[in-house]
Amino acid sequence: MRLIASLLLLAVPILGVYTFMTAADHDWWFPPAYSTFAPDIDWLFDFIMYMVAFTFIVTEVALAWFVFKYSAKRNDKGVFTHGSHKLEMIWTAIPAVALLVIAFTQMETFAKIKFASGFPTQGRFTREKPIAQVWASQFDWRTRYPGDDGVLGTVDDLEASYEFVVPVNEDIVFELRSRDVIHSWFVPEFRLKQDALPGHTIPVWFNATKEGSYDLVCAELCGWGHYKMSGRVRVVSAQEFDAYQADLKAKWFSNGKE
Amino acid sequence: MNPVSTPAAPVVTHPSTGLQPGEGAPGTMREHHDHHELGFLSKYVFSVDHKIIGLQFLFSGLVFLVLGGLMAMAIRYQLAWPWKPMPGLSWMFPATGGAITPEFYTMLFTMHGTIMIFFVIIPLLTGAFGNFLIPLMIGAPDMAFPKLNMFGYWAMWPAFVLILMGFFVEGGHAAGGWTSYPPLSTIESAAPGSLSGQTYWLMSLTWVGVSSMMGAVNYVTTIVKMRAPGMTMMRMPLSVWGLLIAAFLQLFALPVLTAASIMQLLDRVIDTGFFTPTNLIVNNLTPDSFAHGMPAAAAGGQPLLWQHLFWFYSHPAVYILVVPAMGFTSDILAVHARKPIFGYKPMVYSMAAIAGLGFIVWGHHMFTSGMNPALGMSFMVATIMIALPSAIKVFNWLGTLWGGRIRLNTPMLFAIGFVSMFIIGGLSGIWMAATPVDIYIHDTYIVVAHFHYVVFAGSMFAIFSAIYHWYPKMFGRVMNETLGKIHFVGTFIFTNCTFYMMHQLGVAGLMRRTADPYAYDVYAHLQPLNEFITLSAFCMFVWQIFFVVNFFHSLFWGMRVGRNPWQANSLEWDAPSPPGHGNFDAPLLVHRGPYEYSSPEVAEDYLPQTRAV
Amino acid sequence: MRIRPCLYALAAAALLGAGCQLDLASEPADPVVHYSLSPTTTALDEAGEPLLPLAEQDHIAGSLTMLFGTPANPRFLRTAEWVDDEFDPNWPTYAADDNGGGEFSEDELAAIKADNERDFRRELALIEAGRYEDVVLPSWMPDLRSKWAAHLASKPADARDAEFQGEAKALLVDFYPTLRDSAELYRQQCLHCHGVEGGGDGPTAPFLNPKPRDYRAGVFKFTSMKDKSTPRREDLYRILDEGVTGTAMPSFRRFSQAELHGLVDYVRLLSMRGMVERDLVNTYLNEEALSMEAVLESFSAVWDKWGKAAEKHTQFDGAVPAPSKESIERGRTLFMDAATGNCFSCHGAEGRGDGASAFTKHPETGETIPAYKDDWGNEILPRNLRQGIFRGGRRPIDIYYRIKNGINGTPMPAAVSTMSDDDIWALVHYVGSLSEAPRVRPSSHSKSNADH
Repeated sequence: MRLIASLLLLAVPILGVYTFMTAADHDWWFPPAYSTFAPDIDWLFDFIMYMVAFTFIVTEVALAWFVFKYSAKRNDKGVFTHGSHKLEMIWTAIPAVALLVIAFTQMETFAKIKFASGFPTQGRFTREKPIAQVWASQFDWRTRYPGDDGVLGTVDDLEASYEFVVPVNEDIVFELRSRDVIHSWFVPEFRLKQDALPGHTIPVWFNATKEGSYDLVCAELCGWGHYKMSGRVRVVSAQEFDAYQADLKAKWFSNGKE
Repeated sequence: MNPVSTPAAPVVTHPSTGLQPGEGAPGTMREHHDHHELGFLSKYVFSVDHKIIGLQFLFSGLVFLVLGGLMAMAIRYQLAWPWKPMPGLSWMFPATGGAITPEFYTMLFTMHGTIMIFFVIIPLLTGAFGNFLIPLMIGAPDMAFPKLNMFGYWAMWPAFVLILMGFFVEGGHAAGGWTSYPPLSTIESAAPGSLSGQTYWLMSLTWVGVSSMMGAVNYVTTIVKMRAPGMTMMRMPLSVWGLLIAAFLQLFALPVLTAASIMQLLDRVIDTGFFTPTNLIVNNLTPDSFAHGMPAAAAGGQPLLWQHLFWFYSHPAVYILVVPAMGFTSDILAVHARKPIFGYKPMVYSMAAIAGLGFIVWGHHMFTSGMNPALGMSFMVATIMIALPSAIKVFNWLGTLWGGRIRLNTPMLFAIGFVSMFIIGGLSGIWMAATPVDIYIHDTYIVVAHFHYVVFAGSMFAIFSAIYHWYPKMFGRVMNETLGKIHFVGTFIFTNCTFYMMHQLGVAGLMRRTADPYAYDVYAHLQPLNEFITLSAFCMFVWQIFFVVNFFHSLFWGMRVGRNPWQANSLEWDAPSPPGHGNFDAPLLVHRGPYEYSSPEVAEDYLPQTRAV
Repeated sequence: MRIRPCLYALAAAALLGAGCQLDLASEPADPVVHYSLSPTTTALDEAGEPLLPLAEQDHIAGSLTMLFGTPANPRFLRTAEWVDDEFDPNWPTYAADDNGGGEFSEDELAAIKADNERDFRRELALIEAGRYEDVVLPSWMPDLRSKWAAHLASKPADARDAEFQGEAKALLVDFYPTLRDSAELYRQQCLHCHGVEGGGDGPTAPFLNPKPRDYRAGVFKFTSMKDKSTPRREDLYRILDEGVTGTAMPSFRRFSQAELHGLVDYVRLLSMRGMVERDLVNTYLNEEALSMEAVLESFSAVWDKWGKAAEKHTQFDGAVPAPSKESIERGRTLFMDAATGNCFSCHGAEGRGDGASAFTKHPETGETIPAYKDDWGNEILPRNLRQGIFRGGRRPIDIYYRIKNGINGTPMPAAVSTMSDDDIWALVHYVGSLSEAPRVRPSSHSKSNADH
């Protein structure tokens, strides 16, 4: 039993580290990072992971080793000790410092993503002049772009279902709203998630770095159709974005001839 | 110092488990019929004896464990093979050819969470073991308020009935997640489960709250006032400390949940508007719609208010789920390593620190909720710092094992398993606490992995360990060691196969609570991994047969043992197995702490708290 | 003593495993669903007797199976006439003009292919890398999966064989679902609301408001068709693509264009099946007999009705006018004019859907209840135009269709013939402006996400 137990315990760090190391080969790891702050979040994740992995390996191996070494069969009598003040101090102080380091390295990125001070003030889209309003409802996503007057909430607004088209490499600010229950706007490739709260208008910003179309997922339970609530964020070049807006407008005022 | 001042009986123990066969008749005190004979009903059903009440909690918890486990299997089946006929349940869904419906799936995970937390783990840890162990471990004849204690268990019955009735109402049971975020849960048209299932859910939880509250008052009073002579606070076993701290958590956090669930109940039944904003249009009905005879509702509420109130209870609740488990593990590790617990005081302080910090970290569930992000910063720092006392505990457990004389019997294996997997659950928590990382991993499977490592691999392993360890005290017999070891090995392997892989699903961005994620391009390739997890989960579930058979077999045919089969120090082992009414047959005087194993003062490797040297 | 309980446990575990009957190595089988007759066919008369003799019900069920197949194998019957014409109704859309059925233009075909390339980009990359075994095709494409498996079986020794690789890619790029593929996708995504037969009576349906569409009448609300005609493919495709806002019908654009076109094919089959069923019941009730000829005749009549739908399309030829203060004001006048628009009588003077004629008193309880029911028997209220929710679409042309043609299956009538297009556009502008009343933009003052 001693051998089985120690091997089992030893298998945890070995297989644990192994599966994480090979996860990317199976594509069971991060989707590609396509927003300006996505690499930062990945880096912070990895930073925590490496610190955590060290502790994980050390403690798990120690556990397996102690179970192997100090079994009743090999030891006649346990060591009689009630602890060590010095050791307690060491393993309080070191983790405390490490944890504070972790906490403080996180702050800047969070402030950049979510704080009002982090929002872009230059460029085409700002909090005062968002690119669009994204409406969530059971169970779909709709995007409202301002019409010719450049102001949202007027009669010439253009509405697009399912898709949210934004220009690449440009700071995008949009307003997130919900018509019924709580939803959450999540694009894995952008590493960005924000709940849509009914009764609130929540500004969100990101800057997509690669053209393409990305799944927009609802990340907060919103009813039986939660799994159906999908959308798409399509990132296009600035020219294509202007063309899209023109096309959207043409389609909006189409006379029904396809 | 001269050892052996009292002659010790010759001890015959099993070489590897340390088990000591029966010494004299079990339950000697049963023969003391000084007081009136109790009938079956008053002895086993309407009992005021803390041990019987503990067993009542134990058995009802185990029954609900099976129910919650079956739901988990159904969830896993759907995730591996979406929309295939559900084994065993297909008769319920003739219209879809046996595949479950999406609203049934939402109900499944809602009720899996609810049942596992409120009807399994909390009743098992604080209800079953709290009741059984506290008086025995502090040397009290019973709880401070035995009738309140009985009422505490019977207050669970309305909760049991209501939670089961909810399955049979129109629209099915609550389906807003165990967190029940409004407006999904408050507006009837928002989800089938919000029609009336949610009302049953809320009423049931209110009863659970009443029960836990009565338990908590009792535990605190008993521990503070009824300790045996010489049993100072700092001589109490860590199990008692864990239960005391959990009771304080319940005392201060539960009223908030009870108030919040009553507010939500009012929102639902008399259309108050605590949590419902104005101008919602849900499923074509507005809360203030005059259509279909709906009364005009006051709205203007705030959905985030519920999240604050709910998590103000439910985050400390997470520690109610784990702090007693830490206590049990500490005790069991010390007994079977034959060593004093390493750093008793740091262990107590760190449990208290976990509980104290637990009150100021609830916001980490809300980093992406639309709460003021500045708050997120302070919640992050507080949350990350909770890892510190957790780390101290892990190091102390390792310190306890170091230099020990470890008996690898079943309770010890499960306790070591707890430590091994609590490390994983604790460390992965740092990711969730870190705000920017949490923006990405919030509500993904990495969260699911994290809390299952803490609550299943942690608390549930501690419960298994405690059952194996205190079974002799409960029934006067031990559980079968061979079966126990088989049970441990399989459970340990399959638990890790099931939950470890969920980290990878989470890193890949897979959302929880999605019935069929594979229609998304980003998730389509995750199906094989989910199949693997499902198969592991099935194996884990089937493996529990070894526990069930062992439990019931040993109840009748297990090896009989005497008072102290593990040669442990704490007071409960001074009582007969099983203890009779009043627990102890001789007056107790406590001389020392409960962890004097391998003490040089005596020849044996243990020194009970009551033995004078 | 130590062995006995172990044996018990092993036996119990074995029993439990066997009891689950789970072949853990392979995927469980798909559920089996069956088409049933609609409740109107199997209805009872006042005496409690079936309206149709049971034998006749069986006859109708058999005929429907002959014409439309089963959920596991849905297909249109290829009549003798079609065999002669070399027309295959089961490939009505994709097979271009070779056999006379092509309904897609070259552009549309190109768009479908391009969308397949996007949808299968992960699989195509795996094929490119020669990792055929890693390709996981969605579970809702049974025919494609079997074709893929057959293709893999013929894999040459050289995994990078260009011809093999090309064929494998073509299989995905040229993918267009068979009716069987679409029926499986329908089962996974649509059935729990719309029901096996498309009767709008799936298990989730009771909890929805409005109710899911019942296809069996061939009546679809949001089309561009006049005279309550059956819809064009474009109309059905638009619903799948855009969703119906304000209802539980989401946009299904996460599926590829080919898959959505396939769903349209399958919805057409279900709708035709329901129409033929109704037809047969009526024929029997009128003539007391049901011959093979009558069945085939009904089938071709329904087929023709769908085929000729395009003729009923409402075409507005000019440019859509932009709203102006004047047109909105004129729309308001028309809205309130009892002779032409008469909109206010249902939609209310302020457009809140609370007009006087929309409600009635319950004869017994005296409660205020909706006055109208739709064709499916559900109580229906006029749209509250101030919510900004337009189920058929918020585009001016969509609102134009609603006003011009009315809404099929509901009390919303077509515009009276005296109304000119200009009048209708004025109404469109007025209706559109109702939900966009001037309001203070909240965003710049929002405190919800600020750090103070």
